[in-house]
This record gives sequence, structure tokens and C-alpha cells, in this order.
Amino acid sequence: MSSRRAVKENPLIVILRSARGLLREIITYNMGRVGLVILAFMIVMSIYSLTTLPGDFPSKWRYATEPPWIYNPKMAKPEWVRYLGIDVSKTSIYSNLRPQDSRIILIPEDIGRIAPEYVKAMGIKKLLPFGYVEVYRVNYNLDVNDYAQDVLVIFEVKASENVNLSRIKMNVLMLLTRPDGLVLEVGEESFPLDKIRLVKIDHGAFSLQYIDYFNLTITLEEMKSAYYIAVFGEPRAGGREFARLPGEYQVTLILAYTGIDPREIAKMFGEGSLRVNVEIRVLGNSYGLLGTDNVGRDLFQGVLFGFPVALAIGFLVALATVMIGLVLGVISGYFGGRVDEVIQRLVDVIVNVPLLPLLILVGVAIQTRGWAGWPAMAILMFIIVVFSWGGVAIVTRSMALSIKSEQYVEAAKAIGASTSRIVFRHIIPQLIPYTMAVLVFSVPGAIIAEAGLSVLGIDHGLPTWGRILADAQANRGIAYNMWWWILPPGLLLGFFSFAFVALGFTLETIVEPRLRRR
Amino acid sequence: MKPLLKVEDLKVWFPLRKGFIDVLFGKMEYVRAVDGVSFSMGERETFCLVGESGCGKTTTARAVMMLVDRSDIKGGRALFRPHEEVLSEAAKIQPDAVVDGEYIDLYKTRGYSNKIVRREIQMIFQDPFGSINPRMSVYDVVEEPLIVHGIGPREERIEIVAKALEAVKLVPPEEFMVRYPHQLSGGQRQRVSIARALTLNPRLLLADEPVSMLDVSIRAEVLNVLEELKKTRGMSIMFITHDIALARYICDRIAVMYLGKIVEMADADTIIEKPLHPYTRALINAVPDVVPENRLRFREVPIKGEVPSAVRIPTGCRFRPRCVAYDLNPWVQEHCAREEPGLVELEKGHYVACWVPIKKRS
Amino acid sequence: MPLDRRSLRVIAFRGLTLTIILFIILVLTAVIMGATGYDTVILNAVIHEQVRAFREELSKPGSPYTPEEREKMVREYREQLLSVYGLDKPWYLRTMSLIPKVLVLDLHVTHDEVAGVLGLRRPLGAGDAIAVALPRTILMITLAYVLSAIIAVPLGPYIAYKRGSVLDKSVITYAAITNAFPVWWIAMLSVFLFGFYLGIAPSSYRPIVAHISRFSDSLLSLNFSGALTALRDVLYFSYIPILVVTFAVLGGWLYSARAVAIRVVSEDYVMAARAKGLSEGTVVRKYIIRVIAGPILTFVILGLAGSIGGFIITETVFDWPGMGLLYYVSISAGDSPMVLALVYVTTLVYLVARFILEVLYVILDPRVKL
Repeated sequence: MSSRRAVKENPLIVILRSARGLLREIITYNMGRVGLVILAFMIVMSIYSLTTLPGDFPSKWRYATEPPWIYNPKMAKPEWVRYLGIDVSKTSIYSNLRPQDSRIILIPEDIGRIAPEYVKAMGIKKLLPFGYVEVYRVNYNLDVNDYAQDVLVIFEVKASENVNLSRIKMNVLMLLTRPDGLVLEVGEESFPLDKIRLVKIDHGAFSLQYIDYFNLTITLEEMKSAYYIAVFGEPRAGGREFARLPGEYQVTLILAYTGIDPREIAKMFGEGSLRVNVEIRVLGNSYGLLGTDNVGRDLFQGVLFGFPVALAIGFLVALATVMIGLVLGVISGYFGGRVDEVIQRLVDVIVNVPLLPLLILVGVAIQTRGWAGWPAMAILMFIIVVFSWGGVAIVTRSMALSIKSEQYVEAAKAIGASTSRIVFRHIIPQLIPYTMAVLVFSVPGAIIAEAGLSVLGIDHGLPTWGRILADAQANRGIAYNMWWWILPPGLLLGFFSFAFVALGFTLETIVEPRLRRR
Repeated sequence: MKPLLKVEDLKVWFPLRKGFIDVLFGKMEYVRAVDGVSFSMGERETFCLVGESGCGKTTTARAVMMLVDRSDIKGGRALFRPHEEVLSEAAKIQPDAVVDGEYIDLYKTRGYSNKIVRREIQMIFQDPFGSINPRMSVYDVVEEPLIVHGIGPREERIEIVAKALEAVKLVPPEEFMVRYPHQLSGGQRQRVSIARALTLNPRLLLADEPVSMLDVSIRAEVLNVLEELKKTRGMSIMFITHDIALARYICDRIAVMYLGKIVEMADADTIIEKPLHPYTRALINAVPDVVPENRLRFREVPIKGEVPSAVRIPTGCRFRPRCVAYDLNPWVQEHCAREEPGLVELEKGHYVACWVPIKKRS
Repeated sequence: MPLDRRSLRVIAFRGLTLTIILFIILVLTAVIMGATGYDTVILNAVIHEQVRAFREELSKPGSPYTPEEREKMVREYREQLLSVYGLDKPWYLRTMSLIPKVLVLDLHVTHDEVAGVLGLRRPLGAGDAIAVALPRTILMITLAYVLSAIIAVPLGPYIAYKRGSVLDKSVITYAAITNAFPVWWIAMLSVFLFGFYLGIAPSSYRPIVAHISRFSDSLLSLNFSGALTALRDVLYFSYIPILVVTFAVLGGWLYSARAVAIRVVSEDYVMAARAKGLSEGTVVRKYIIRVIAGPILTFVILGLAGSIGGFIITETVFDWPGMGLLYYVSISAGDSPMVLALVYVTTLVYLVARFILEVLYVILDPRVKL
């Protein structure tokens, strides 16, 4: 009896077992192996993306001129290119810094005792360092023959409620000690603590004295347009040319808090009711895994976001398309008659509709209405589904027609099986292998169409691979030698769809034995 | 004893093309696959329909099995006498399908009444490779009728399936249950097909050329199973074959069909020994001789020409263009050309539809 | 072989069906353009801009009009514009009224940008716009298709014959790769690589317009040396797009030609022909080529017919002023008459090609029943 009980198994186990069998068969083909490997990579990356990127990433990406992107170098190459022997300066981020020194200074000349470079520095020195003063220093090793882009300081103020931040003023002085011993005051800024912002290199601070010092013949305006070259380079030929100046740089940050009694400020810092986190970034010409675009957006994060989007949209659209095609095709083939006639005419129309122009039309309509984000994407994908199921329906219909006249369907009718039982138990299972192959083939379709629409300038507002390519296309004048902007999204798009094309070819070979190798 | 099945003047016509255009232009042509067939079958009887391919014997069986589209049944009826309880259940939901208080008109059944009548009639198909879903295990195939008719808890169904498999000599059943069709031989598949038909314990089994696609060497195993079932379960079997020699071996009575009509019907022995219709004679003469050396001798098969299309059936007697008796008997030619002969009982239980013996007798 | 009445009826019925399909597609396009209101938004912005310019013109110092007169003129101008663009009517009247006109191409370009992309000015008939754009698309895409067909049609069956060889495997891989990477991305890469980076090809292809017209002008004035230099410029401006499209299309065509041939190569009647002792050459010529000619012809003809609509994205990437770019600019500018005209022409050509193929099938193959 026990052996007799074993004849019927849990359908889930049956499905899993046949899936495992299918996988095993796919693996025997080279194409299938390649496809599976890429697919596995895509899935891993998607999981990584979903777990690391914040939920509001799309809107962050959209507002390109806001943090965090303004803290990044612009048009930076990927970091790893330096290992290919390319001279490219690195981006160094110094966060959670502690002041090297902090004390109350009442006479500005006393600063020389804790920050002697201030005295040596050339610059306008409009703001005077007195009050409660903190000094931060970081070292940046410009180890290659390249310039850096910028130095910036990001402040984060935390205070308990009883502290009136608007009364406390912060004077920021940023000094740069170069490998040749020259000290430049590269930034000066002053603002109340409640209106804190970031401080960057300010060409105005040092330009005049710099021109004087090196006896340059260029004008102040010319100096402005290439200030970072002046900061990280040595002028030649009167400033018409610059030579890169690699070596050890030191950034000195002097923060002078004034506005209220410095002793009170010292007390607040002491008891922790006021805290200022300082992050210094020396922006080089390389950043992260995939560099940045023209506004400093981290292309790795952008590309990373594309993984789950591509997989999800591809699968959902393909699944919806194939399911509709399968169901309507089977209905059309099995029931025939008037239903068949109606579905056939419908298919006639939809397979002849020019889909891309239609999508562009809808895309432009969405855009002029100002819709963006997931709803816009959903509408576009809906249009794709509505006009793509025709091909599947044609094939499943003819397959249903031939299965319908098989004797085992007659046999099922003879025992009195209901129509739904015949359709779901006897016809659809025969169509599953074909349907699987089509499903796999059509996964990339949606995301490629989406990318194409993006490149045409239809902005659904999500950072997909297509969107990133579209940005490059829109900035073709500067993007042309930024291969790290053009290649990764396009290659990923291609590999993504290659994986499914390869799996599709393999499945097709397995399903259609005549194509099998001899 | 009242007959189990009565088929009365059954006509099954298939429209030639069901295209939209034909509907639009209102022109329809029909393939008259079954063109007025009447016969009846008793209980525990094995009844054979014999004829060449395309003569309508399979369509007749499919019509009795209610597999033909109702719209294609252009006339006649098929009456079946089910068990008491099935009859009363059907009568409850569809009193208009009950005829003479004992029979059910098969073509008036709908929905549930149709379903319960199907328990009493089952069919075995010709192609052992096509009649079993290749994606279902033997257990699934044989169990399906039980699920469809909502029989038993699973333990009971397993028991019934095992018994059915034992009955068709697929032993041990546990081993066969988990197999898939591609792991079975043709003969084994055909026995699975029989087992599927048996699970509902039908009164009437339709066997549509069940051995014609099997190797000669394994035909006997299937035929023996059928023979034994007939004895042990008391089933009536309608056996469809193109092989009149096989029909004689299996059947109690034989009906010979030609181009959608029964041309001769009698006891198996009578029809072989004393055939009255020229077509029957031709069929018998076409059977290879048992004596090997006789096979080498030229034997005349008394028939000419090809089977006409079932779309344009000849006027008068439909066998006339191929008939040797027509050529030999000029005196009936006028009759043959003018009027189609009806099936006339010339001797007790021996029916024939040919003007030559009918006119000779009268 | 004369056609019997039934075949004629079948053909007539198919023709009718395809005509209805064309009509439905036109109505569908018109409904989407009207019901989404996308052109209203765009047109309103255009009108707003024109009215503002008009008002500024009137308000220039030294204008002879009183403010009241000015306001009246502006209002009248505005109403005039509204009726020109058809915004005074509900959308279904506006877009549906285009449909009868599109059938005879009695439509006009309504936006300057659309005419501008072709290097022309308004007023411009929709038919004329298409007549200008079409040859450029034929130069790029149809030519590439023809090239692909020339390579794929003989090579596909050959590969099928050499199944499992290195050549076969590399062709499959090539097909899979070109199938995976969108044409427009390859176009983008080639613009960046050849146009900007290496500088051996243009980075924008819009100037092709001038070179083509220079070429035809010199030919007409029998200035052959001028024609030759113009031709050289045309070539310089077209070789990358043609190569890119050929590269992208060829893989798929090779694969299809191979797949069609493989089905035939393993058929029983081919085996039978070989078993009869016919030479391989005869088998290929008489049994294989003859059978696969039909399916291959089908996809070649449908491909060519489909190509006249241009590759919208690829042409936009190249900035190639053909049908695709015309399509895109018309849609994004909200030029509904031009959009409808393009949908009409491209769908018509495709459906006519399909119809011709279906008629050929009915004539050549007695088994085809629709």
C-alpha cells in the first residue's frame, strides 16, 4: 500500500524536478551555460542593488545638482584605470575627522602657534581666525602625474534644542600646503551655523597673489578658468602652460567660531550639546567603480539601479505578453468559430500596428502631461504588452488546433472531462515548453524598447540603463571620450539580452528536436 | 432481451470547409461520413463494424461516444439503455432525453446528464501512441476518469486503478503506475488505454481498431485481454476493424459498412460463409489465404475502381460504380441506378442492401 | 495557371481584410493622438509663443495702435491660430477629419521643426516631405538590407549544410550578439568612436542633405567631375551608417536563412533524393534551394518593406534626416497630420508587401487555404 501511495506527488516537487532536469539539459550547451552565468550575475547584482540603494534613489538621480552628486568629482574615470598604468588622480574622502587642535584665540596673530601655515599662506585673508578655533589637517598624496579637481569640505551640525545656532558664526579658512612648500589659502567662507553649506576651492582667494608671486602674464579671468591647474600645478611660460605637481599635499582647515562668548562655545563642544562633523574630500579625476558623469553622478550606482529594473520589467512584460498570447491563442484554437474569428482579426490588427511610433506617441503624451517615475513606466510597458501578444497567439493557436485533434484529447472528452480540464490538463501543458522559450526570448524586448525610448529623449524619470545612455547622447559633445559613460550601460543591456537570447536558442533547440545537434 | 444500444438512421455530415468566406457566400458542401446507419446491439454482445478506411465506421463509433459535434449530426438518434440508477438520475435532470422509459437519447443529453451517461460508455482508440497524454504517468491516465466523475477518496481510486491495471495484465501495478507512456511498448500502452476505459466499469466498450497499429506479434495479448473482459465483466463491445477475418475471430455479429452506410449485417459465421452483398464478397476474397502456396496464386477480388468521394455520393446504389454484380446482372441495372436499396432482412437476422438478392428473392 | 474562382475570392477577401486593418490602425493612431491630448498641450505652447511674439511686435515703440486695438488684434490673431491648428474643435473632429485626407495624402506639415529636419521650409505637403525623406532612408537602411540579403541568402543554406562546424558556431554566436545589442547602441558607439574619437567619419550626419542634392544637381547639369566629388562626400557621410545597419541586421538574417534551410535539409524527401544517388549539387539545387526560396523570399520582402519606415532610434542617433528622424520629430513636435501620413504610408507599404506575398502563395501553392 505504501508504494501505491507514492504514485502521486506534490505538484510543486514535480515542477521543481522538471526545472532541475531542464537546467541540467541547458548546461550541456555552451550557449546555455553562458546564458545561465550572465543571468546568475544579473540576479546577484539585483539583490545587491535592492539591499544597498535607498528607496528614493530615482528622485535623487533626477535632481542632479543636489547632494550627494555635487560632492563627487565630475567626469571622473573609474578608479581601477590607474592599475592599467593611466595617470589619474584618486579621490580621497576623509570623514569623522577630529580636530588636531582646538582652543580659544583672542588675538588673530596667536594662530601662528597652532597653525603656522596660516602665516606663510598667500591669499586675501579677509576673515581673521579668532574666537573658538579648531584646526583640521589631512594629507593627500597626489601620486600620479595628474591634477586633482577640487577640495571640498562638507559640514554636518548637530545641536541640542537649547542652542541658538543662528547666533553662532563659523569662519572657514582652507589652506593647501603644496609639495613645493608653497601654502595657498584656497578658500574663505563665513556663515551662521544654521545655514551651513559646503566650502570648495575659491579661485578668488589666491589668484592675485599667485599671479604676483610667479610673475605671470595671464589675466585674472584666464586664471579663473583653470584655477585647479594653478592649485595643483606649476606655471611655465608666464602661466600659458602648467606642469603637473605630484607629491604630498596637506589640506589645513581652520574653523573659527564667533558670535557669542568663545568660552560658551568651548563649553558646548565640551559637553556635546553642539557637534560639527567635518568631512574633507579631495576630488581627483577618478571615482568609484565606474566613474561619474558630467554632473558628478556615480555611474556605478546608476547602473546598479538598472539591474533589478531590467529583470523585473523584462520578466513582467514578457510574462504578461506570453500569458495573454497563450490564453487567447488556446481559446482561439480550441473553441474556434466566432470567438476564433474575433481573436484572429484582433491579432491581424495588433501585429501590423507600428509599435515604436505608438510608444513614442504615448511617451511624448506622458511627458507633456508631466507624469514621471513608475506610473509613466507602467503605462509604456502596458502599451508594449497590449501590442505584442499577437505572435504568441498565432503560434499557440495553431498548436492548440493540432493538439485538439489528438486522440488523447478525444479520450479525455470520452471520459467526460470538462472543457477547462481538457484545456488546463491536456492542452496547455503541451504548450509550456514552447511558451517557455518564447518567454525567455522576449524578456529583453521591453527593456530594450524602454532604452530606445529614453535615447529618443522620452524621460520616464527612472535611472535605467537606457536613461544613462540617453544622458550621454544628450551630452554627446563631452561624452565622446567618456567611455565609462557609454560602454557599461550599453554592454549591460547587450549582455542582459544576450543571456536571454542564448537561453532562448538553447531552449528552442531542446524544444524543437530537429534543430538538435546530431 | 431488449437491446443495449439502438442506432436509428444516424447521419453525420461534416461541412467541407468551415471558412469565413463560405459562411459569407452561403455555400456549404458536406462530407457525408455516416449517411443513415441503423443497427442495434444486445447485452454481452460483441458487434463488429467492418469496412475499408473512410467508410464511416470510426465516425459511427465516435458518434455513439458523443465525440462528434452536435451540429454535425444531421439526422437520426442513438438510444442507450443505462443502469437503473443512471437512468433515474438522468431522468431527474433531463426528462426529455428519456425514451420508452428505459432508453436515453444520447444526443439530447446535455451537461451533467451527458457526463453521467458517459460512465456507461467508454472507448479505446486506434493509436496507442496518440491516445495517451505523453506528459501524464500511467497512474494519472488511468485515474483521470475517476477524478472527472468524482469517485472515491484517493485511497479508493488507487485501489481501482491497481485493479484495472491487473485486469489488463500490467503487473505488478505499482511498477507500471509510475511509468510514463514513452517507457511502454505499443501493446502495453493499448492496455493502459483499456484500463482507463475499465475504471468506470462501463456497459458498452467501443474499440476503434485497437490492434491495427500494433505489431502482429503483440496483437493477441490485447485481443485476449478484451476477450477475457467480455467474459468476466459482461461488457458489450463494439469492435471497429477493417479486417473481416479478425472480425470473425472476435465478434458475434458483423455489419459491413460502405461509404457511410451498412450494406450487410448478420451473424459472424453467416456473413463469412454466405455473403450476399458483392462488397462483402470482395472483402472476404481479399483476405490472404491460410494455405501459404495458395497465396502465390492469382485470386480475383471482385471489385473495381476506387472509393468515390463522400462529398459526391453516386446516385441510386452507392456501390454501383464499383459493383461487379451490377455488370453481371443487366436486369437490375435500372433499379440500381434509380433507387438506393434499403437494408432488408432476407433471412432471420441477415440483412442486406443490394437489389440483386432482394429482387431474386421477390 | 489561371486562378479558380475560389482562389480569387480568397485573395479578394485578404485584400479586404488588410484594407480594414489599415483603416483600423489609422483610426487607432488618430484616437491615441487625440484622446491623450498630447498634441493639444504641444500646440497650446506653440500658440502661446506665437501670440507672445505678435504682442511684442505690436507693442514696439512707435506702434500706431491704441492698447485696446492691440488687445483686439492679439485676440483675433489667437483665434486665427486656434483654427489653423484646429484647437477650436473637439479632438475627435480634429483628428478624425484627417483620416479621409490622409488616404490621398492631402495633408501638410504644420510645424517648422518638422520641415527643418528635412532641410526644407513650410508650406510643405506631407507627401512631398515623405518623398524627400524616403530616398535617404533607402540609401541607409534599405541598402544595408539589400547588402545583408546578398550575403545571407546564399550563405545561410551553406551554413545549414555545414551544421556543427566552426563557421556554423561562429555565425550563431554572431547572430546572438547582434540580436542582443540594439542597433542604435552600436550606432552610438560608432558615432563616438569613428566620429569623435578617431575622426574618420562625421559626428553628425545632417549635412548629407546638402551632398545628396549637390550630387543630383551636378548629375542633372552633366557636371560629372562635380558629381564625382559630391558622390565621394555622400559616401563619406553614409558608409558608417550603412555598415552599422548591415552589421546589426546580417546576424539575424543569417540565422533565419540557416533555420529555414535546416528544416529542409533533414526532411525525408531530401534523404530520399540522396538515397536515389543524386549528386549533392543536384540535391541542393533541386530539393533544397527550391523549397527554401519561398520562406527566404518572404522575410527578405517583408524586411525590405518594413525598412522604409526607417530605424527611428538609429536615425535619431546618427541625426540622419530620413523617414525615422522625420517620424520622431513629427511625433515630438505634435505634428499630427504628418504623424498620420507616416503611419499611413509605412503601414500601407508593409501591408501591400504582405498582400503580394499572400497572392503569390495562393497562386504557387495549391494547398494554401485561408
